[in-house]
Amino acid sequence: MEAEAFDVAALAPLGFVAIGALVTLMLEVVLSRRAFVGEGVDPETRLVARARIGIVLAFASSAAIVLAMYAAIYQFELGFETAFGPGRPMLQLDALSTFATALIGLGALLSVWLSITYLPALRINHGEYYALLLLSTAGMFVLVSAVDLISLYLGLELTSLPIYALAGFNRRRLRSNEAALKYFLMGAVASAVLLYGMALLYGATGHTDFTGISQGFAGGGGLALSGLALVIAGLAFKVSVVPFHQWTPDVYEGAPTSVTAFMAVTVKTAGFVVLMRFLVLALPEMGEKVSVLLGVLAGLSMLIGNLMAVVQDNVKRMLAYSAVAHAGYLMVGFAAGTPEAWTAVLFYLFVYLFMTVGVFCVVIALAQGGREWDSIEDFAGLASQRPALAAVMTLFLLSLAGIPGTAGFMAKFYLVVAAVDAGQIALVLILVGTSMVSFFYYLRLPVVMYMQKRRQDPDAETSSSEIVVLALCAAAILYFAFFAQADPFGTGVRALDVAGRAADFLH
Amino acid sequence: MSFEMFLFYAFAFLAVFSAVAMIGFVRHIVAAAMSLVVTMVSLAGIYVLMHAELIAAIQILVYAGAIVVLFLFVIMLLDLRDGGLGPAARGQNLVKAVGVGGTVTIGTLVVASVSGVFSVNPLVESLPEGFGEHRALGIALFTDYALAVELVGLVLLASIVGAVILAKRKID
Amino acid sequence: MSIPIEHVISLSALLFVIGVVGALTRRNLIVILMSIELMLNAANLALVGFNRVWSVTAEGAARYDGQVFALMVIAVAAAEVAVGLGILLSLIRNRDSLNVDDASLLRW
Repeated sequence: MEAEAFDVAALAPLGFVAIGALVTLMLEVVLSRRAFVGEGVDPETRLVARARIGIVLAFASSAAIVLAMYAAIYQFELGFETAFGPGRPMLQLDALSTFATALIGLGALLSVWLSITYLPALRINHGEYYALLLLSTAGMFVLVSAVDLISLYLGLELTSLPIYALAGFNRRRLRSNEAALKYFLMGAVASAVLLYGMALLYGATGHTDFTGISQGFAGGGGLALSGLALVIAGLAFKVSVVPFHQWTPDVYEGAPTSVTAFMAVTVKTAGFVVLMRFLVLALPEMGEKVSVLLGVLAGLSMLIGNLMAVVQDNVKRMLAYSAVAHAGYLMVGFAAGTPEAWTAVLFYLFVYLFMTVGVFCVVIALAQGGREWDSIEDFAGLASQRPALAAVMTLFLLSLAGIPGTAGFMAKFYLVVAAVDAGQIALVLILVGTSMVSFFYYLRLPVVMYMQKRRQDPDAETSSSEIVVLALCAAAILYFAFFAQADPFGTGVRALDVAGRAADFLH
Repeated sequence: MSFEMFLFYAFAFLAVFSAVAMIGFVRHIVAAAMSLVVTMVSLAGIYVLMHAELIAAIQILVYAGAIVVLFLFVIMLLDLRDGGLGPAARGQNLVKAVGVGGTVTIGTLVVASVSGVFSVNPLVESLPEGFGEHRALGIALFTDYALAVELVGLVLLASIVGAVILAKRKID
Repeated sequence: MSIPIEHVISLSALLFVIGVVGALTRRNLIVILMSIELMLNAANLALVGFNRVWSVTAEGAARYDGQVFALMVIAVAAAEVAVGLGILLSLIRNRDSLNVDDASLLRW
């Protein structure tokens, strides 16, 4: 084994979050001494001590994630391109993986900030939360750079296992238990199906690395095709594409909202990026057939997601179906499969992060008294009592709906242009049509917030960490609505160019 | 039929029989766990026939030894008096399952028999010495697959933390 | 002579299907978990079986992709069971039933 094959610097982002997870675990043990949180301490003191420990842990995890993001951005700027793994490559570090790493890091960072006041509000302030979140983030870092079925599988499990536990983190709430159980059972079946598909692919091609598979795949063959179908089904589950979406509404609703926000943005990013890499590297010759299959999935997701979202009374359920619909929009880019489409997909994921985190942050800001305020009636008259909150909520919803003047519109616009260029006219028509439908349910909330009277008096205030997240998301949505391709402040960074560079290796 | 073949079919029969028993007709949940052990041990036997001696040993150690014991431990903890098994299946789900199952079986069986891949790459009768034994596999694990081993470590850590936080009786 | 690889893969497919049927039809949570284990075992059998086919490189060196993958799967399966049983225990503390149908969210 040669020393230079083991370039540890390439793994810096993964290392930072993994070490961060260990540090938070140990830090909690050290900090929660018996005197403060042990037996016989009065509940008031214990709660205060717990809250302080939570803040320290959140800072520690933020530091780990920021370091990881910094490393990823540094690698991106350098144009880092290396395969990691002595003897045989397991992870590929390149523009795509560093871009996705930074994106996932950002999603994780915002989720950590959302949790600082939310966990105490639900009385589930335990240090393991941050460790699990960081471990899951580490799994996604593996996932986005995986170029081998083994690392893909391990990354997927490392991503999922902590999220199963996080979904059930509110242990006293039956809804949360059941959400965790449902996600676990369906997720475990999906990963077993994925694994079987991988075994068949390996059997048909004799390789577990993506390039080897693409060479062995040349002959086609029934074994390889059934393996491929099973792998795509398993990955489609993770990004909640119809018909593998049944878990989404229940898990989004039952899980603590900060966890929902975390998995809504990061798992989706990681899942789509790994699917992208797998399709492009492992199956360059399968274009035609796979594109039809992906197109069908895209159409179904857009239709079912948008139609089901209309009839929901719970905001988190509605957002879950909207997530299914957005997965459908993204799949349109996959069906197109041109370099411009990959760029559009990456830019869409980037914008989607801000809209989704923002919208869930508003739901979190409403939580108080140990329970969620997430039914549509709970939003009634919000504009009169917390006008700023209602205003940013409206902005996020308009952006999700894709109304001009928001970043969501630009993201959809690039996607549509790329799809039209690739000749996917039918899918574009469905996209535009279902987007019209989506106006109904997205605009329902602003109507309730501005037109109706408040029924309960909220005594919760938006905490400072939530204000930071909301302001950041709102600013990003407005900024990228107008400057997706421009550079008004002379920083030399244009969002679309960055996404284009990340998609570059796929050319 | 060679002795090797005979062993394979015996193990295969045992594995399928006890797998069906596990999901189909045992009365008590502990019996289901025991059926799972039989399946796993039979598979370990087949692994030996496939020149995967180390996997066979680990199969018995981890699956039969650790995982099934974990199942039994939870079953004991729950103290199920009535055997714990409800009615076998519901009609609607049965249809779904038969649909899914049937498709997968037929598909896989067909492709396994018609696919040209095995004629392209015929079985190598003379394997390198020590193929699939602990030494060869251990070297592979700690050179080519070192990163995968590290990642498995992280997966196990995540599962320990997750299981503890969920299952602990009292957390604050 | 060696065992025909088609038979090994057919056995693995059969076990996988039994696992799928069990996971979808049984209502007892522990049996569902066991069925998922069976599916993973079936995938392992396929991996080990296929490794017998792709056992040496063109130069005659041994290749262990399938066997190493199977080892990883065994470890991950153990991790999965631990988390699954943890979720089960936390659920049972709130609701005294092991039947899937009693969970309002779990109708699929």
